[in-house]
Amino acid sequence: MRVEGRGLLDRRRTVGFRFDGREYVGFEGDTLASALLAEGVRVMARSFKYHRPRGPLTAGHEEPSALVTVGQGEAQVPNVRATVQEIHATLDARSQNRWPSVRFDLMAVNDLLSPFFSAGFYYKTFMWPRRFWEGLYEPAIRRAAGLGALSGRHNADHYEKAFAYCDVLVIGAGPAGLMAALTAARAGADVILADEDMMPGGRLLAEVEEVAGMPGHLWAGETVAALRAMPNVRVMTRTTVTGAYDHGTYGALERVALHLPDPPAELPRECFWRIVAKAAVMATGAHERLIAFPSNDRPGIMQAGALRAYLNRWGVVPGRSVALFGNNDGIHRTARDLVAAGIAVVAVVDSRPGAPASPDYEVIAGGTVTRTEGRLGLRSLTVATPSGERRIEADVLGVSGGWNPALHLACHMNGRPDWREDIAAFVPRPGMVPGLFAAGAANGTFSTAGSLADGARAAGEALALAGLRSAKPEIPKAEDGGYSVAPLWEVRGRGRAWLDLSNDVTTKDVRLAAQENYRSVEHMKRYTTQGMAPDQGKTSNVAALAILADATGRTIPETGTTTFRPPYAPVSIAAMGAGAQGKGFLPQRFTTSHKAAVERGAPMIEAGMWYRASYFPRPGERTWRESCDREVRAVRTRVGVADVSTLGKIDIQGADAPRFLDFVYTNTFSTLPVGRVRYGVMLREDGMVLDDGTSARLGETHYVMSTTTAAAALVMRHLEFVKQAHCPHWDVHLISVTESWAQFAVAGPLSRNLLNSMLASPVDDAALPYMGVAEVTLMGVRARLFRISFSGELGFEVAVPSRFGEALWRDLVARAEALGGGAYGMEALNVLRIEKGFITHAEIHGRVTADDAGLGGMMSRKKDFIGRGAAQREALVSPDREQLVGLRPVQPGRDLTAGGHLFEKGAQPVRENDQGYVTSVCHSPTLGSSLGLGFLRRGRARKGEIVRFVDHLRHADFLVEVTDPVFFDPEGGRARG
Amino acid sequence: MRLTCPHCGERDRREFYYYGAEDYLHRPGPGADDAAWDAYLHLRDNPAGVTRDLWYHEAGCSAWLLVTRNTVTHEVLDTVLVADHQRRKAMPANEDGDQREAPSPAATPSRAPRRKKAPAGETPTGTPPRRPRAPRKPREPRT
Repeated sequence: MRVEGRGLLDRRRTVGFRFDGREYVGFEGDTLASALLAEGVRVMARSFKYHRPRGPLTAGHEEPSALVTVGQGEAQVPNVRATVQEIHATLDARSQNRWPSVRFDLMAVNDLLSPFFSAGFYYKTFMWPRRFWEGLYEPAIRRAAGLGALSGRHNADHYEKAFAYCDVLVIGAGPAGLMAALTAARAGADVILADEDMMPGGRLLAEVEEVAGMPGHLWAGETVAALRAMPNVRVMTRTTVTGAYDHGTYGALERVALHLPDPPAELPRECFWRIVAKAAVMATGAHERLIAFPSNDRPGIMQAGALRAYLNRWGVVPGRSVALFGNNDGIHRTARDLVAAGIAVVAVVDSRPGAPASPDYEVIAGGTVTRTEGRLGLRSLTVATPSGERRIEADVLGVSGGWNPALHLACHMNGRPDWREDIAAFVPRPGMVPGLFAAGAANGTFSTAGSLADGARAAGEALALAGLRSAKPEIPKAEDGGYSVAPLWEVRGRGRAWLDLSNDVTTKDVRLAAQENYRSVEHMKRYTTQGMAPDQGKTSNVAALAILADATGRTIPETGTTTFRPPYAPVSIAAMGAGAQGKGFLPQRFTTSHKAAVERGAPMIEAGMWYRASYFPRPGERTWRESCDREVRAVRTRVGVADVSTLGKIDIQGADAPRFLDFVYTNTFSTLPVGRVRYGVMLREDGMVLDDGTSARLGETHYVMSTTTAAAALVMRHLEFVKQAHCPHWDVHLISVTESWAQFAVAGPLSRNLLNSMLASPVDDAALPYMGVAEVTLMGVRARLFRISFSGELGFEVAVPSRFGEALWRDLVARAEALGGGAYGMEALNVLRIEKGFITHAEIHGRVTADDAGLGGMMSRKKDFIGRGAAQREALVSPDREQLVGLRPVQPGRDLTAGGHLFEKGAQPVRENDQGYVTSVCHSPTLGSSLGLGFLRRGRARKGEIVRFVDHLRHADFLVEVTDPVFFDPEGGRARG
Repeated sequence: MRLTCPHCGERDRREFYYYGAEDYLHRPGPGADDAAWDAYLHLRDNPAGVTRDLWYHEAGCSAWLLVTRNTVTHEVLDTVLVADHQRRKAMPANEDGDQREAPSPAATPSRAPRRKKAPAGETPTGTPPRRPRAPRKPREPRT
């Protein structure tokens, strides 16, 4: 219910919203939890395993119970914490994991069967019959438990990622963080102040206390306004710092539009930040912990500190009569606040025997709560007192077992925190994350005055690291009370006592784990699933390991904590991967002929990041094969034009360029005459083929190397390594010019005619012999003309600066069509090269040597080169290796498929009899047959043999003839013509 | 993670390509046997502590870098250009005692195959640690 005269909200600004199909009203600044509690809605969720009715346990981001689903359709998001989600006019939220409704859930039958569902039950039950597990048990168990559900639809929302840099990153804007930010900013540092809440202030927003003589929340407001006015400060609210990484990098998730009723389309829902800071202050506060007593999870039972937050910040009390239970003064503070607001406090059960009495409410010293009643909401509790048992009627129970510093970030680099006996809590150890300094409650300092001073101190350390000095800051006056806690982890009694409300893990489960010898805290965690829910055990970790310590006869520090890992809070994958959806996944690289190809209706295929035309359909052609066959015939009989700009081109210059090429290629390039081109093979240092291509000598000290499309970047990197690591004294310089030149293949018997119609000086066989290169003038543009052929026909490649590419392409294609030919794409290019036995990376796939590919003769014996040493290893020169062969089906009409394997004719097609495999296939219109290239053991000696081809995946099984890989024009006369 | 490129200054790790240990710099000379090549290609120490490895600034200036870092604390201790590092090695004389000519590649003598286990008391890499040189002051990053 809403309390008059309490809370920080402007009650003139009402906001309507929906929950579970009903309309409610709250105020701007309400969370879904505070607004629903104000409207008397206490049951907001059903628990993970037992489907127990639950309400919010907390008022903050560590909430384990009140998880709801927000939004409809593609925009649906499950497992949203009701204590974090701000209400807005179009908010449509609903409860999860229940059917038919959150107040009446049939799956609560799980709760009745709970003795069979203790920790690890699925390791001991549902075992027989074996095949039932996958088909029946597992899907049923999966449906019976869980939290929210995904819509299963494509999320088209906009997310963003961003980068920021600063001198000091202050994480948390409570008293410690505000003081740290102020100190650092005044010293001139670039400061980023990040807080997960919608408003800075931290606990100052939840408590009744004064700072610098004014209410704490007003001091916070003034301080933030002062910070916002400084040009060197950036205040980021709704921003959770999710992880601490190396070298001062922090991840943070900003909720940009989740609180807006109608956000503009270009505003991202969330933004994932990477913030690089010279130093950081961790002022992340602390989380209040529960006490495990029987039935401690009912709606209406929450943290004592959460009750204060709901009352003082939102003006809400979740019921009419409040009881409190705890082991520290926090329960008394809550009682005083409630009484001052006119709320009935029926009892304060203080486990400490020496608890102070009060005139305003009853104190039961040395008492503990042993049981509660009320299924859909607390109705009463049973208290064990020194003088006997009592039953107390209450509909709200505030619990405080003490506070745990929120030290997760400090432990993200595998550090383990220290245990402090005086506050019965873990605290961060300095230096676990270099450059991160803890302050305030996160550092185990729980008073406000202490936090302010600690924040200033931490800022000083951060500034020193950033190379700045601060003036001694003035610490405002504030509350400086002590903190005395008597550890109480559980109350034994009849009934289950909850530790992890999010995964429904009880003290019994932890004891069971210990009993079954899962004694290590890391094992206990996985066996019970404690701490593995979306809340990552923020309210249960320390209590669970205290129970484990007790069950295994160790102290808490001896038991230790599990490893803390980022992210601290759930981060949507869409935010972390922002920009990488759809086309953003990979850059797109387009050739200069792209537009013209698309105009022709050519389907474009991806070759790495490049887009290349697959084939150029003509009217009347119904299948890709028709187009491909026509293009192949056109090249073999007329002339074809293909865009080969995507192949890597590396310009190599310098006095030592010749011997550099000799060093990286197996064969010799220093002997190549100027104006000539040579095919080269390049090995990796382990003797396998890295790449092949042609290199042309344009001058005494000037070469241009071509690589395959796929390996262009790899070869460039390799050449740079060879140069810098092995030849650092040499005069040789490399630069990639792949994108500087548009390059087109012009191939076929009429190719020279076509080019001569465009050249200032026509070329004949003498002017440009086979494997020659010349600088020419083509249509007034200086170009390079290479006489090389990947098709096996008389062929050329013409290279012009890229800015002329599109125009040249269109002109070449028009002239080719006039000669009875035309453009050809990747499919035809592949058929042409297979017919000629030319290899690509389908063949040189990383486990193939030069000799395997039939190129052993290219390995010079006269010089050292990369890969020479390792290529001579015994297993790499064995004659039993799989060698490149051609394959042709014996029976016409059969089609080879790449990936199929080869076996001897009569052998069983099993792995032990494997003789080789097929790497490339095509249908050859030139030869009227399916053709394949592949590798066959001792293949070169088996030409003419009939072997068995089996594709186990596509169910093909027929006989093939082993042939020479060059199927067509074996003498090579057509290219030289 | 951030690396300081001597040319470009402090950059995000994702601008760099990681190749492997510095062992790749010590290429066996011509005539080295199979064992030497096997060691060069495949045998590596795996220290929990200081290691030196090779990174390529592929999204930046294309420089290969030799990075000294600690695999336990993640500190980056030193970053030098591979080319500078390799040039500083002693240039061996040829038959005529002539030191002017630059050596052929892989002039560093072929190393004996490295034994994997470091004797107790030595540094994790089994050799006395090289004193890291002071990092070169980075030039102003290009805008």
